[in-house]
Amino acid sequence: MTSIDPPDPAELAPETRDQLAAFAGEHGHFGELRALAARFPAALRALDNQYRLIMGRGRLDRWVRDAVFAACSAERGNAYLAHALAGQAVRHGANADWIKGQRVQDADSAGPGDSVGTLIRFGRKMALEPYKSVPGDISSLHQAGWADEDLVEVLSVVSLSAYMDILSLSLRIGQQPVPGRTTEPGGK
Amino acid sequence: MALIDYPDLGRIDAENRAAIDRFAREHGRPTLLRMMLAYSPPAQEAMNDLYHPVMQNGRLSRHLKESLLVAASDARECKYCAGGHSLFLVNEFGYDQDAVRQMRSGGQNDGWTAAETALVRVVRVAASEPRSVTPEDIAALRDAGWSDDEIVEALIMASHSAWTTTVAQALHLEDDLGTPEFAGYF
Repeated sequence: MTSIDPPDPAELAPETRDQLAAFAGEHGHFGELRALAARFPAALRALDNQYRLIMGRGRLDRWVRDAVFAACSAERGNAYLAHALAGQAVRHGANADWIKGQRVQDADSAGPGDSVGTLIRFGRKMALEPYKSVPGDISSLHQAGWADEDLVEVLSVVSLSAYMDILSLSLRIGQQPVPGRTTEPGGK
Repeated sequence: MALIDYPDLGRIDAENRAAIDRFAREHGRPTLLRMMLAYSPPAQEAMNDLYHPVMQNGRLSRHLKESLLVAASDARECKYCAGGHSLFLVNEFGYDQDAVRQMRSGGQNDGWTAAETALVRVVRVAASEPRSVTPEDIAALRDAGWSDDEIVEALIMASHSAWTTTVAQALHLEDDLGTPEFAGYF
C-alpha cells in the first residue's frame, strides 16, 4: 500500500488527466507511479518527458536502455520498476531468459555480446555507488567498444532510474511491505 | 580531473550550446554537468524540463526547493551538486554559509521553520536510502502541516538530486572544482 494515495482524477486539471491517459495508452506500465506524480503536474510532465527522451532516443538500442534500467532498479531493490522495464526490454527485442538473469544481483550471465554485459555491469555499479567509479570502469567500457557518447547516455538511463526509484521506494509505490528501517530521518 | 574528457564545445549543436550558456547566465558560473550532457542530446533536453519547470511551479517556495535539493545532494555526498546549489542559496536568497551547512545536514536553524526542517530530514533519507522512509515519516510530515501534494513535491527534489548526482559522481566532476570559476563552492 502506498504511503500517499493518488489524487482523485476528478480533481486534476484536464490537461493532467489527458497526460496520464495519453502515456498510459502508449506505454501502459508504472501507472501507479505516474498517478502519484500527478499531485505535482510539473513533475509529471518532467517525468514523462525524460522517459520519452532518454528511453526513446539515442545511440544505444532501445532494449539495451530498458535492460540497464531494469538492472539498476533491481539493484536498488525495486521489483516494481525492474519488472516493468524488463518487460519493455523483451518487448523491444531482448531475450526473456537473458534479461531475467540480468536482474539478479551480481549477475554475470553471458548474453548477446560481452559488450552489453559490460555496459550493464557498469550501470548496476553506478546505481548504488556512483562515487565508486574508477578509471578502470571507463577503460573497460572503451575496450568493450563503447564511446564516451554511449557512456554518458547509459549514465542518463541510470539517472532516470534513480529518479523514479526514489519516488517509488520512498512512497512504497508498487512495493511489498519492508519490515523495519535502517536509518532515522536525517541520518545517512 | 573528470574520468572522461569534456566534449569540444566548439563542435556541439546550437541547442546544446544554448542550454550550457543559459546555465552560465543564470548562475554566474559554468556547468560541468551540462557540458558532459552535451554528449547526449536527449539527456540534455530532458534536463531542460527537469529543473526550471519544477523549480518555478508548484506549491513549495523556490528557496525551500533549492534547500531540499542541497540537502538531498549532501545526503548523497555529492560535493559538486550540493556545493553549487549551496552557493545559489547564499547568492540568491541571502543565507550565510554556516546556516546552509547546518540546514543541509538536517540541523535546525533560524533560516528554516521546524516544519521545513522536518521536510529536509525526510528528503535526506529519501535521497540516500529511499526504502527507509516509512509511512510514519509521511504521517509526521502531515502532522507538521504539509499536504500530500507538498510532500510529493518535496520528494521530487530527492529524485532530482539522484539524477544529477549520479552523473556528477560517476564522472568525478568534483575533481574539477579547483579552478577560479568555481570559487565559493562549499
